[in-house]
Amino acid sequence: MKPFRLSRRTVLRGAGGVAIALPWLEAMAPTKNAYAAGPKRLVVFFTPNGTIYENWKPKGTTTDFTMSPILAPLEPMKNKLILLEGLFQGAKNGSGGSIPGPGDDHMKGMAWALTGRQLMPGSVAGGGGATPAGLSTGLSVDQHVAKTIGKDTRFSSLEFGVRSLTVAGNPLFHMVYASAGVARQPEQNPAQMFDRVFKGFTPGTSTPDPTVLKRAADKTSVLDAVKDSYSSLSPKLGKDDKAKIDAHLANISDLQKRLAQGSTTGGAMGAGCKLPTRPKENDPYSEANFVENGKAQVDMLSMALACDLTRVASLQWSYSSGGPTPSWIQINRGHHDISHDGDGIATAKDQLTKIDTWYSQQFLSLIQKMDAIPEADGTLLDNSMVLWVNELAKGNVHSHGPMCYVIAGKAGGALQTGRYLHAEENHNNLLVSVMNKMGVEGNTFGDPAFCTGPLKAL
Amino acid sequence: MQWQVLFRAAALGVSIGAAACSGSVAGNGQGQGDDGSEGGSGGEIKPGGDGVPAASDGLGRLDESQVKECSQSKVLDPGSTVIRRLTRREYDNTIADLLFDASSPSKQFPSDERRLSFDNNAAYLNVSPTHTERYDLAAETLATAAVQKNLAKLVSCKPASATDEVCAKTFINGFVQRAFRRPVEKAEEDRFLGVFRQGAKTDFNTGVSLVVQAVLQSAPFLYRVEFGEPVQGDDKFVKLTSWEIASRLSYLLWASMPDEALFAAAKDNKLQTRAQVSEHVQRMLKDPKAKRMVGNFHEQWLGLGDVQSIDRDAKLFPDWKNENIQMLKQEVNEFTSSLVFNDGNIKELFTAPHTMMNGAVAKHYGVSSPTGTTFEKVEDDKRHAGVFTLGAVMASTGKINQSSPVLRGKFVREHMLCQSLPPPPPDVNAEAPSLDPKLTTRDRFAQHSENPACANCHRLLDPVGLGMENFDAVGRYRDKENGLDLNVNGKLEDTDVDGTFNGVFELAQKLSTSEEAQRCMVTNWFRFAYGRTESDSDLCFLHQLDARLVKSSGNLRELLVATTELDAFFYRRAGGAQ
Repeated sequence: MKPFRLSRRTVLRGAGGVAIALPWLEAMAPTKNAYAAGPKRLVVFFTPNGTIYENWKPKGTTTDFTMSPILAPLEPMKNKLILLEGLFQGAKNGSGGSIPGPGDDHMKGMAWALTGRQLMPGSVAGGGGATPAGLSTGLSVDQHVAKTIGKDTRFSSLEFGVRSLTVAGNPLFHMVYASAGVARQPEQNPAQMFDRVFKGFTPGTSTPDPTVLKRAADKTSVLDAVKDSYSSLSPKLGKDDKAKIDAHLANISDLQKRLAQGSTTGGAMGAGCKLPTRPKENDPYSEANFVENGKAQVDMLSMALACDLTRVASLQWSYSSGGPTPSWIQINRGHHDISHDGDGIATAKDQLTKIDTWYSQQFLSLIQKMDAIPEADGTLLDNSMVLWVNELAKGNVHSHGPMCYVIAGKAGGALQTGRYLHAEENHNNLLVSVMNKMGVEGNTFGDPAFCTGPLKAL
Repeated sequence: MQWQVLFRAAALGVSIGAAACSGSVAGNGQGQGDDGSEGGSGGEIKPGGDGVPAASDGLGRLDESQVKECSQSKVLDPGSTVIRRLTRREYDNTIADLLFDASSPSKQFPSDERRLSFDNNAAYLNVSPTHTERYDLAAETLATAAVQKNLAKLVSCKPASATDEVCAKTFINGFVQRAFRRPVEKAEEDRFLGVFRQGAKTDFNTGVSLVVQAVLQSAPFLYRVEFGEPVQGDDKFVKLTSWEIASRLSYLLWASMPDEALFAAAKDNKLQTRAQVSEHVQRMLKDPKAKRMVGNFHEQWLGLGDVQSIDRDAKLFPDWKNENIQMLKQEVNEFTSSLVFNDGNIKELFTAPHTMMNGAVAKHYGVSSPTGTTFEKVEDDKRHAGVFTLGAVMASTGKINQSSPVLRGKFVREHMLCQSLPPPPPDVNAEAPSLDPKLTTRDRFAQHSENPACANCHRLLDPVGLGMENFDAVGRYRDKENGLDLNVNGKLEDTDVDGTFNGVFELAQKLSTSEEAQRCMVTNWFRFAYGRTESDSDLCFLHQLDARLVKSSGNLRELLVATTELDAFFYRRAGGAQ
């Protein structure tokens, strides 16, 4: 039986600016099991260098608000969004936050965004005379969630990047962490990502075709021989060398297991799953390919979810303190460079607004694609939580609050969307909420000194 | 030469006072992949014992009796070595030689962690799940391409049928020996024959392709495994086999696998004496692959290893494109390798009044010739002083809108003198001072010397970097800034060549007489050649390299040759890495 639902437009018109009473909202919110037919998915979307708060901030109340210039492109999806602001990373410090430990503010914020923890001391010198830092001291929330919701899919998680560059051991480039000091690097080459995710995969087939089975048997044979080369070497080595070779062997066993699964599962999802076309090879380091590769990654990310190849994904645009020169929106200075200009410089403010507005359009593209995949009573987006994060609040002062986020999707009914929320709480509380809304229990995440439980406002 | 040898990085003794000193000693904060992945300040080398920051003494000195020990006839402790995974560079070069495939597949691998400037420190070459996936994908792609394009080069026999195991074995033994860089064991032949059989269910070529796939992911291909052989009367050290020495030579001098001549010598066990090895070293240094390696060493030593792109304010540097750094890195390669292979010496490396340019580089510097794509020697003693004035060095130590005397000072301290700087105090505001059209960089950085809390650290940095102000943030020569005459007086403290100097040319001259700088370069070659950070047990080796450099009047090629003559090159500790 289809539950009766009020259209939002009707409600708002009817309420006429009067504060809306809670029972109404309850009636509008989907019930907890409305989307139970599809699994939950978590997607993280990252853009760098902070934002221009005055042009990000929506106008109005929690449920009756108008979009800001930066968020204007998201208007068509307004009722599937939560606009969240006011959190602080680390310790509260005025309207901002203060993250402990080594590293510069870009590095610290990048690690804090998903791990809620400080950086290790290390050898990477930051800007601003910061103490040299290494990688984060903790695992990221998406990886934590992936241990539960990602364990049955071909990939426990997929990390997409768009000119995310990635220098090993450098915290500016990493936000996803499998554990303390172990970063998962985003893939910035769409063609390579296609091969990794979709090669040998045929959507919608319950009996894999014979060529896929043959390929799987070949792979098994190859990797068995590869494993032999490690297991026969290992006992002949000294302690440290043995540890290295054993770790490599464990990685190969995992890969083999995953490839074996891949040939027999996946493709069981709804009609929305279609094999994307393989993106054409290009230089992912080139700024000229930024827009094209971004589009390709969005297409593949949404399809990897639709085909249930993974349930946890992230899309990292550039990297903390990075940002190409966005000539495609007629700006001829680098994003990070502009973000350092003072408040009084109107051109810089306009350009930064324009850049973030462009990122809003990319966010819209992602969530619209997810919303176009039907699943049971709703859509793929309804079963998902898409979280847009940044390593900073404001670029020119490198502040860590008030942070601005956009959340899309209803997380299978766990999130009540169509709201604009202001909450002066720890950023880590949001991370607790992310895991809770994904069905993972717990009252704290990241550094417990900066966490008081799930975000009350959410 | 001086018997008191100091090799280890000297930690500079400065007490740290918190203050709002502007101007960062840390990276340039652009995050273009060029900032801070190397870490003289944060690497393994720590200030002297007891928590007391040491001045330039007390670390790793050899007294006369120790020097005597170094020259005794017994085998010296070869030091601690760990199993070495191929770096991305080595993987690509090896694939090019093994499979005749120059597609540089390692572009798709995670980058190698850099330690003290270099990408080949074996202790830090780990394998993540991403590596394993990428190795698998690359192996599949490479194997497919190899069978399509180069089957005849890989398989010398003609298969009588899809399942012709005689021919398969011929292929396996030939290919695996080259890939593993040693003879194939019976168990390995059986293992790969099993893989071949699986593929041969489709056809012979698929069998070959699967074997290639498996070999390219196997431990003896991806790692350089060394067991050595027992030495009579010595249970502490083992001597490397000729096969292992062949790989040591090829990966040191070419960053790739051995060639047929090395394999032949290994097969005849003719890589056991210094004379036997020397013959191959002389031959190998004539190969273009050696030039590639030498250029790469200097690029990494100078901190340019990860620099792919440098962002500059388009208003101030309208002609600059982010990727211009690539051609300036090529200049580094051409300049340094031309010295090494033309009997250049360390003094020239530091002070040569010339560089190498092609048309594009010349245009960047505003020089009218050359104009073509070939690199040619360009001499001008007003503009060039060895590595110090290379555009890539000046640009990579610059900021987005200005030169940085602080980063240049840091470059000289860390890369040229192997000194390690303490990190700045946590609460400094270290944004570079804002541009001011009425001031020079020196004027804007005056606070560092006026504020005593800043001056304590910055006395080591700014007076060095300010002497290099004749070069702007993209490495072009200037004698004025904002229309004002430049004052390029500088000063060195806490070195063995302390004193004032005027401009980068005098700085370069001064450092060319510095034993500290000379030993720093020796230490860097050791780190690069052996893929590890030096430890106390390596002091004799560093001493021997230094002695060779002195004896040959600073000849750079001789220094490189000497790295293949140490006991550390021929031996390793028994019992695997600990």
